[in-house]
Amino acid sequence: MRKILQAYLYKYYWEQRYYLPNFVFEVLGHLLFFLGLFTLLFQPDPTRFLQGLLGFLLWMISLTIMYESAMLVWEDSLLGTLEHVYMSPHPFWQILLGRMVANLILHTGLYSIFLVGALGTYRLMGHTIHIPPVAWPWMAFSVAILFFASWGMGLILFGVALVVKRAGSITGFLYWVLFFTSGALFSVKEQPRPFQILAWTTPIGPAGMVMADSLRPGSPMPLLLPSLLHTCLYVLLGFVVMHLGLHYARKTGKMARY
Amino acid sequence: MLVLKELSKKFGKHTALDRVTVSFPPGITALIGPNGAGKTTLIKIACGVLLPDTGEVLYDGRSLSRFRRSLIREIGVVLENAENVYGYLPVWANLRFFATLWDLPEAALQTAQELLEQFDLAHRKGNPVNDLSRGNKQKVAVILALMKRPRYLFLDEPTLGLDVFASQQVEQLIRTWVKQSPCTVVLTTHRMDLAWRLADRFVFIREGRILWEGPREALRRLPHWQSVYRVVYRKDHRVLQQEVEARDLSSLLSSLHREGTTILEVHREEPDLEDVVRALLSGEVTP
Repeated sequence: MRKILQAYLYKYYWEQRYYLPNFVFEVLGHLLFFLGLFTLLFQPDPTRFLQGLLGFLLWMISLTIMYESAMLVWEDSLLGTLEHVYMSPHPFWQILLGRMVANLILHTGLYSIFLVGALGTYRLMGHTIHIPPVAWPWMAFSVAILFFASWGMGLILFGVALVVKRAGSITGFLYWVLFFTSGALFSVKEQPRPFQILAWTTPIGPAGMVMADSLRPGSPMPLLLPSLLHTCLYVLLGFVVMHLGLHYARKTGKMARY
Repeated sequence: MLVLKELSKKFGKHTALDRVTVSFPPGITALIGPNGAGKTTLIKIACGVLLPDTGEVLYDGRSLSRFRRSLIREIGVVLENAENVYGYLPVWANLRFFATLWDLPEAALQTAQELLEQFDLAHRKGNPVNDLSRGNKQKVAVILALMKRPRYLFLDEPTLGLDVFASQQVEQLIRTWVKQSPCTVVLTTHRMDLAWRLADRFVFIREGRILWEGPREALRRLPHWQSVYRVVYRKDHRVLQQEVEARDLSSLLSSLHREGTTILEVHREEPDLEDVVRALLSGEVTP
């Protein structure tokens, strides 16, 4: 696992020499979008701002985790390198995990730009940044379940992309479903019931809800068990779909052709 | 020894391999066949990136399906028509990335460096692969396969699209490599001259079936591999010539001698592998 992480960190380091501007502008785009939303839609409510900011971050992290796994098909299959990646002695799920963690480490710098930019702009607008008491264990829990559930979703996307060539086309839609269920815009618990149900079907919904609860210390945590089960289900499903996808690709030769 | 046992593979209605049983002993084996014969399918199944419908792949008696993760360390491959490496990354970054991902020892990078020098690519290792010519890209793919120091090496059209100089370099490298580090090489190529110079064994495949396999000496013994003798003689003030197979040479010479004809020259002409292969693969001749 250490070797995989090392390999992908090295690869991403080289990639950044070419693609860093793309990443930076992507983050700046997200920052503008976030600031625009919060300036237009909300009164400068510090609690709502913080909740929105964290929800937005969760959304960005979730997207990175999910697409990084599936990107292995979209990128390497096109280039013809997927078969060489598969010829590694490491189990494939470890390659996907190592690749994703390496990418997440790289993105940490970019998330920091986003955070500093958002908080700085908020401050420049004359608002005070008020950090309410936070239940940190729940906050950490929300990040952990987000990580694993999104990874599970990434494995599902990876497996599906190996079978259905145009699976990538649903990602544009998925983007916004995840956004609306992340709690960045509205707290999921305040949304109509169909949206709450929808939130429970996405990898980000429970994490967003737990994160919102962690900003209200002392509130009970009825979501602990269901969100844990939800995450386990996503990971399990991810493994099953990944293995089925790989088996299908190895049967049909689709690992080489995209 | 690599043994493929009863391998079958279908893509839809197309049969790529039809109960293929073939073995590849140490040394270089040329896998020869027309386009669509099943060569690449066979190589991909042997590497484990493609699953057969039936049959199994055995490396020294160890089944690939059961021991894939340990066997994969011993297999190097250059795939046909694939980039094999990331074009936007520099040559050395590609080699280093795969060496780490494949969990190769540090010596692998030393081997890669030596091979880059042999291929006159050392000064270009900082260039993105996309900036290299097609021939140089292919050399990088060969280096990628060799730096593993594999016991089993699959080269699917390693000289495809290479000019005569680059092709010679690849050929020389394969020859030297096998001499220095004995391994099992499976080479597919449409270049019969290259196959003839490199291979110790030949396997002919057509429409997913093995037509013939054996060492090059056995290939020479095939009925349609016969030297032809060209006899040039003078008769009635005219220079004439006649081609005969070895078995008919003595009778021709004696009859010319009896007629008092002056024999000017007798040439032995070696058969062309390409003609033999064409005859074999087109079904004109049955082995």
